[in-house]
Amino acid sequence: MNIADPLLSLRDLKSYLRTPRGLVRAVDGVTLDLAAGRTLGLVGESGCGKSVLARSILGLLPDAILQKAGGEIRFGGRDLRRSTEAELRKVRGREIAMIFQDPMTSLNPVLKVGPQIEQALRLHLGLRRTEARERAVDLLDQVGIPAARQRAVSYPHELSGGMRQRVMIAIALACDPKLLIADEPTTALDVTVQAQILDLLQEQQARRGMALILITHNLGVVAGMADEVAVMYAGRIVEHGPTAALLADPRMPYTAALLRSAPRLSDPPHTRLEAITGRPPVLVDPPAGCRFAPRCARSREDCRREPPEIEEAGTGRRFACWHPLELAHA
Amino acid sequence: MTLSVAERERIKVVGPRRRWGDLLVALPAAWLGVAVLAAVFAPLLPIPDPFRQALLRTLQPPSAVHLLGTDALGRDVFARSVLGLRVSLVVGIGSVVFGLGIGGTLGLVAGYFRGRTDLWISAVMTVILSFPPLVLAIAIMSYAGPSLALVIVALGILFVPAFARIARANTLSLAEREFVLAARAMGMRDLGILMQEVLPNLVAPLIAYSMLMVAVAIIGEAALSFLGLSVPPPQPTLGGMIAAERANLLEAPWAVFGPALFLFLTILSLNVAGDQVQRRLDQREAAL
Amino acid sequence: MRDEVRPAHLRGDRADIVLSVHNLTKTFGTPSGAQVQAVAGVSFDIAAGETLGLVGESGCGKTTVGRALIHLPPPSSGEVVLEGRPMSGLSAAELRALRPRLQMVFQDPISSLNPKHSIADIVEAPLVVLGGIDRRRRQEQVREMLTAVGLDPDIVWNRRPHELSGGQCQRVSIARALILRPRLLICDEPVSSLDVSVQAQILNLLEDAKQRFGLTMLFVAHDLAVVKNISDRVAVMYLGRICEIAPSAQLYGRAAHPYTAALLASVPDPAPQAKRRIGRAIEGEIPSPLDPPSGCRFRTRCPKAAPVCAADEPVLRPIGPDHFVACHFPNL
Repeated sequence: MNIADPLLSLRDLKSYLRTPRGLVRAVDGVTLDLAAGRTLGLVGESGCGKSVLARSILGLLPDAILQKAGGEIRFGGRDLRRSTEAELRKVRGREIAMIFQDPMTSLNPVLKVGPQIEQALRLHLGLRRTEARERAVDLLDQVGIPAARQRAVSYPHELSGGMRQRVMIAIALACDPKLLIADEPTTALDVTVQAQILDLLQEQQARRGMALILITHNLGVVAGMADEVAVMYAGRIVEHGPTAALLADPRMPYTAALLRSAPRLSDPPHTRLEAITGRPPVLVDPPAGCRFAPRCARSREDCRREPPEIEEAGTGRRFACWHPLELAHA
Repeated sequence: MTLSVAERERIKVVGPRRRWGDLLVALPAAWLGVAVLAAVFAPLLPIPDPFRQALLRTLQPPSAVHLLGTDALGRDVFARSVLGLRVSLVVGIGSVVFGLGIGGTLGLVAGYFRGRTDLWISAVMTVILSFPPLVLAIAIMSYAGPSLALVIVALGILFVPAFARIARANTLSLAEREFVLAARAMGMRDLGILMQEVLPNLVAPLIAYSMLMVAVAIIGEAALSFLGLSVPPPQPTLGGMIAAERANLLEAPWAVFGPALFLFLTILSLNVAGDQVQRRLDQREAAL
Repeated sequence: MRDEVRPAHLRGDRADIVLSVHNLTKTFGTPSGAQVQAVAGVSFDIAAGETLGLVGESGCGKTTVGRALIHLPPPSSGEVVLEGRPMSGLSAAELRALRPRLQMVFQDPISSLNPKHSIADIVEAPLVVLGGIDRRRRQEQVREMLTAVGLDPDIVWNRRPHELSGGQCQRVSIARALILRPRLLICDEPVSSLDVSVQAQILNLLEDAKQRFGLTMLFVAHDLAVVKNISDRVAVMYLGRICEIAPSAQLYGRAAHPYTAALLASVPDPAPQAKRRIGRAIEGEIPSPLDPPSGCRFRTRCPKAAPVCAADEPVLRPIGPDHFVACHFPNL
């Protein structure tokens, strides 16, 4: 494998969902590269397809629901889209791990947390029971759980939300994955605990040199964590670039509007917020042109006719817009 | 700030992947419709008199005149089955309405007020549940003698705890919802909240469950009449017909399988349709 | 008698106080028989036209305070005075008569609307309960109020809640709360389940409604930036108590309580000039309310904790104009 090759590479990925309302184009042509050890912040509002994208990478959506409408998922020289379930099982947890929003529902409520970590270790690394037990305690310790040895025999419900998320992280880290996908890992947590968990993720990532895809709706979280940010809207990536540049100088109007609509601590009280009117399109029958056009203040005739492709715009930035915002800080 | 009409209209999309499911509703519904109509208009149907005995033409095989042949007394099996189905449906629906009315109300009250009320109601339900159901029904029937009203009540009592449980569980979760809190915050009284806020949300799950329970009640009635503990003769019942003719099973299978077929189709239809209704409700819930 | 213990931060001298809460407590029994004090002696007041933000992490008791104010369920002890009338000791009928004066908007916009009712019926319901208004007048008012919250009555009139988006449902909720023209509106996390772009619409709507209908507001939320945006004054709660209360700009500019400071430091900010700001501000998590720490409740996580913090519980005391903090070692 060439060194310049990205760790993960998505090519025109399309994942459609079969629902009673029709075929939902949840992920509709996503192209993205992620280099080893980097952090990508995947940002978007609910229903934009960011979670479906993450689950598609690991092949976690059942065939009864998912229609693979095309594209490639290249990871470590394979195309995961075309891998069998058996091949995927070897990748999941071992090379790509995932943590979810709600640590209560992603942990098995009737098993103690230690054995849940041991499961992963024995399954993927073939460790013996005693070895696995030691490693599990060690992992719990690494993710900042005090008195790890005692905690290993606790049930999930005996732990706080923050502690449960730490356990989830320990399970995810158990096999030293090359890529960790974190789907809204701190959304259910309090802000002080969120800071602790993000800190932990950052620390573990630096230590293990793994890549991280951090899925969130919170631009603030991304600002402090990610090397690069991809903004999703209605099943597509509409803007992608280095975090600082993208946040300081959004080119796609949706990114700009998203940044302006969130209240900020630095603004004085009663600052009028710039809300985005309307709501995202229903992805059963998305608009023909740019999917943001119906809500966009800059949209013109051509936006509604032809969808803009995402294109390189120099200095590692890409965006999909016919009438982008000018660079203010150039 | 207001959204455009076009944006709102886009919400409404109906998928095409329904055909198989539609058939699964249409066929049972058709049978149940025919069965109910036949039961209601039985006396007007152009079928032979179900009570007329013809001792010279006993155990005749099915023919153009006697669609399902005749029984040991020469009576028309088809006509008797239609009449038996009438009893089945009356008992099935009647006992479920009885159980739904009493059990549903008790469950609603228990789930909404909780505490002591709930404790008492649940205790009584547990006691009823701990009787073996058919034994309880048999006990009631043999004590008071067979009659249609009594069959309905005997089976209905058995359904009270089941409906109470479902109503209670649904009410418990509904009462937690904020719209109930909102109703209280606007000063609505408990009775108003129960009737206007909670009850409309209970209708759908209880209806779906009722369809399944009608099937159970029909089986229960058939069992009772098989034991001679249902509506007294000469009124035909499906269970009674099977019991009477089973001695001639080898000679004249139609006399047993005729009423059995009626039973089978009705119960299957109720179960399939009930399942489908339940599934659609679940889907709708999930979409909310 | 009560005046002797009236805390310093209550502005008893002002004539325009709409709501005054004094030493409110709420105790819940657990299945195991233990008693949990979810709210442990909270006092505050809100003047006419003011928005008080009540902010804190989960388990701090902020939602319980909001619910106790509308007596669902009523507080265990303490005094709630609405427009000069004490609410404790009122009969059910008297309480019902008072309900139109204070209304509430809930967190979950979908769950707070009955899925079986039409939007028009939902907004009309408070008028029906109130009684004495004929149907035509009621429907006129519903139409007016739906328009006021940015919905087109002709479109939503017969719709059910599940046919609307979360943001639209929250507008319906606000219309229902406002149709009785309440004096005080309690908002319990009204935007926390909404997307950012929709959240901005609702926050703007609440600001507009406040001006238009002359509302006084209690805004309960966990998001510090949201609370800052909408509030004139902010009270920070921790484990059932208020640890700091001050005008918004003051509180966010010069947080005196170590907990307030920690909260603010934990908020991730997308401002481009902010460098990598994420870092754990404080260790640990909120202790169990079953067994709160002695003395200052925050001391187990506080970087400034000293022996006196375990011995003496600090009370709210003034450290600036309208700025009160319950801490032995405030950041000044």
